[in-house]
This record gives sequence, C-alpha cells and structure tokens, in this order.
Amino acid sequence: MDEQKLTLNKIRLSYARAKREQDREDLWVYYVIRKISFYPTWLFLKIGISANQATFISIIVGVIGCSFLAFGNYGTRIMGALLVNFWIVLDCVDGNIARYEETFSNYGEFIDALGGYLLNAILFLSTGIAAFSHPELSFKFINQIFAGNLDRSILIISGAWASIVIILSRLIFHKFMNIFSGVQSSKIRSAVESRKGLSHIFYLVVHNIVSLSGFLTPILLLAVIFRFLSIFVLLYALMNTIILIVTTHRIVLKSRRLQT
Amino acid sequence: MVSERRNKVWLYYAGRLPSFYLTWIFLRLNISANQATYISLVIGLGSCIFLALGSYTLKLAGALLASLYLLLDCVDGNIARSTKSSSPYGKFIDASASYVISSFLFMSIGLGTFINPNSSILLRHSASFFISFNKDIFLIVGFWSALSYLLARLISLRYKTMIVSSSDNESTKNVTSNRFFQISSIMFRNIFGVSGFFMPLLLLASVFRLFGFLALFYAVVNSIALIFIMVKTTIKMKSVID
Repeated sequence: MDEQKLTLNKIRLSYARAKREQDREDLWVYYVIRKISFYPTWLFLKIGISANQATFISIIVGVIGCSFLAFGNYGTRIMGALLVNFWIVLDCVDGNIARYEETFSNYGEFIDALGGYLLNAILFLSTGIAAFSHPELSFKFINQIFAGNLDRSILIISGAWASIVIILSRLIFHKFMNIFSGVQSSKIRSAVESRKGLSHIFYLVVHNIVSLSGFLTPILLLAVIFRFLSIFVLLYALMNTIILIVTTHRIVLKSRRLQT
Repeated sequence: MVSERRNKVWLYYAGRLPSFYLTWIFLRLNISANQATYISLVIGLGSCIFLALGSYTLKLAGALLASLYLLLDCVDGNIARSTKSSSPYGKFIDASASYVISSFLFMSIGLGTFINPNSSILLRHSASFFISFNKDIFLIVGFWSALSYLLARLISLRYKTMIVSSSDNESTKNVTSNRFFQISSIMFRNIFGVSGFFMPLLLLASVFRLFGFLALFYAVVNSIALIFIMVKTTIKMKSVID
C-alpha cells in the first residue's frame, strides 16, 4: 500500500545521480528551478499527465509567455516574463515525470529539444519587439551614451539578431556532431567536452548566462519589472554574437584537427 | 544528380551545369575544394551587404553576386568529387557556410527594404494598397524568415541525427506513392531555401523594385515550411519504435 503512494520524496529520489551531476553546472536550475519543479511534478503525476504531454504544455506556456511579452502592456509583459520562468520549471517537470515513470523515449527527447529551440528562437525576438514598442527609461539612457543617434528600430534588430545568432550556432554545432559522430565517436566526445582552463570558463558562462536554463529568465523578469529591457536586448545580442563567433571558430578548428 | 534536376530545377540549370566550366578554371588555378568554399562564403557575405545597404544599382549587383554564390556553392563539391578530396571537414564548412549565407540573404532582403524604402513599390505606394505598410514591419518580416528558415533546418537536422542513431530506421524509409504528396514535395524543395526559385525571384525583385513583396513572400513560405517540418518530424518520430 505504502509503496504505491506518490510522495514528493519518491520523485526527488528518482532524480538520478547522473542527472544531478549534469545539472550542477547550471546553477539556477540546480539550486532553484529543480527544487520548485518537484511540486508541479507531483501534481501532474497525480492528475495522470504523461511526460510528453507535460512537454507540450510547457511549449504552449512558453509561446504564450513570449507573445504576452511582445504584444502586451506593462502588466501583461510581467505576466509574460513570469510565464517564461514557469516554462523553465515545466521543462524540468517533463524530465522528472519520465525519470519517475521510467518512460524515456527518443520521441520525448525530440519534442523536448524542439520546444527548447522554438523558445530560444522566439524569446529574444519578442523581447526586442517589447523593448521597441514600449518607450522606456533605459532607452533614453542608452541614447545619451550614443549622443541621441540611435533609432528605436535598433531594438527590433538586436532582438531578432540575438535569436538568429543563437539558432545559427546551435545549427552549426549539430551539423558538426552529425557529420563527425559516425566517424570517431570517442574522439569527438573528448574534443567537444574538454573542460580545461579557458574553455571551461567559457562553458560555464554559456550555460549560466546565455542558455535559457541559466540566469537569463530571472534577469528577464527583473528587466521587465524595472524597465531595462533595451539594455537586456542589446546585451544579449552582443553576447550571443560572441558565442556564435567563439563556438564556430572552435568547432572549425576542431573539425580540421579531427580530420588529420 | 537526377533528384537535383527535379527537386532543385533552378540550382540544376543555373548552378550545376554552368558550374562545370568554373570548376575547370578553379582546378587549373589549383584552388582546393575548401578554398572554393571560403571564396563562396566571402562572395555570399558581400552579396548580403550589398542587398541590405545598397541603393538600386548596388542591390542589383548584390543579386548577381548571390547567383554567383550559388554557382560557387556547386563548384566546391565538384572539385572535391573530381579530385577525390571529399572530407568530413569540407562537408562541415560547406554546410555551415550555406546556413550562414541563406539566413543572411533572407535577413538582408528585409533589412534592405527597411533601410532603403525606395527599393520597394510596396512601400513607395503604400497608400494605394489595402494595408498601409510601416517600414518597421519589414525588419520583423526579414528577420523572421531567416529565423524560421534556420529553425526548420535545425529541427530537421536533429530529427535526422536521432533517426540515424536509433536502431530501427526501416519505418522512416517508406516512400509514399501518393502523387499529390510527391508533387507538393517537389514544389516545396524548389521554393524553400535559397537554392530554389529564390535566386531568379531575387533578380526580378532587384530589377523591378519588388523587395517588399519578396520579403513578405519568403516570410510566409518559410513559416509554412517550419510548421510543416515541425509537424512531420514529430509525427514520424512518434511512429518510430524505441
């Protein structure tokens, strides 16, 4: 009787050691989101929602959050930022359910990845549109720095650019994995996952600041509340561009080295 | 090559066939396949800059450069095949260059319409259309078509990688005999991406100042392609038994 009872502790126990190790470098997820995620996981399991259904719910929540961000007023934009934060929680929930019920599948992994790409693609774009269509204090501040020469359209350009660049770097990375994984799988693994010195620092920065599972979503919420979305957009456009250049450069070098 | 003639009509007749002559020149000059890829990347980027920032004449030059890019994109493959120097590294940089140039081309059409509204009849005579177009719209339109193109590519790449790695890939190889599906698939391959009818449309747009239309058209095409690929890969992935 007791064995069949669904408790939070059992869900926590199913959060396997391997996954915990993997999470440890995503500070925000490890210390905050994962802990919150056990509660909705419990609820979802109670209602009987499967891991894949949870993924679809998370995608819908994320897309609604982004559209609230892009096309709302101050209040709905805060709602949107909250929904995007909730998306991250739900993104952990589907994994929790799959681990608890041991229902892992390629299909589940695929739709999980698809949802992540989609959100990555539209989040910066909608943040750019939001910053463009709502005059803010921060834009005045930026314009003072640039001697008042900036057109507001630069915010749409930056937001969309940030989205494009991040998807492009993902695409190039996956093409690299796709082409080389069949050739020398052990070599490629060590080449990609080298965690020494500078590349380890780079890895940590990417995971905690630029990746959606890092501090990006809480910072977004703060940016919406305290009206510094324009700075947020410009900063992420810059950072994502650096990420694209650095990762592409590294991958090209590595692929040349792997060949010889 | 037979599939290319049907699936990418423009690429075959305006790219592949004339590319053999250029390949001959490149081989004489002793340019390697990878060097040809880098040259095509530079030419493609130049074309994007012209299209985005130029006025009428420069935009026309940009469109011509884009066609030259397509030609060069065939040349590197030709060199690799004829000198038997095909390599994973070459395949990788070729693919990456084409992702960059394709997305930048979509982006620069929208950006070009925004920066130089004269390049679009749609914006010049905005009042005579049912909707009056704001030039900021074209920014979003251009960027969105680049974004949806890349996203569609990323999702289908992820799908292919997972299908290959999963043991059971018999079910994905079933070729449908549905005539309608075949025709729509050929049409799709000829329109989607920049190696289809994008190039002749780009040339027409730059001659007749139709950049606004082209940007809108490709935003719609790429969005449909994105939805199509998302639905198709999800359904197929579900049907594969783990």
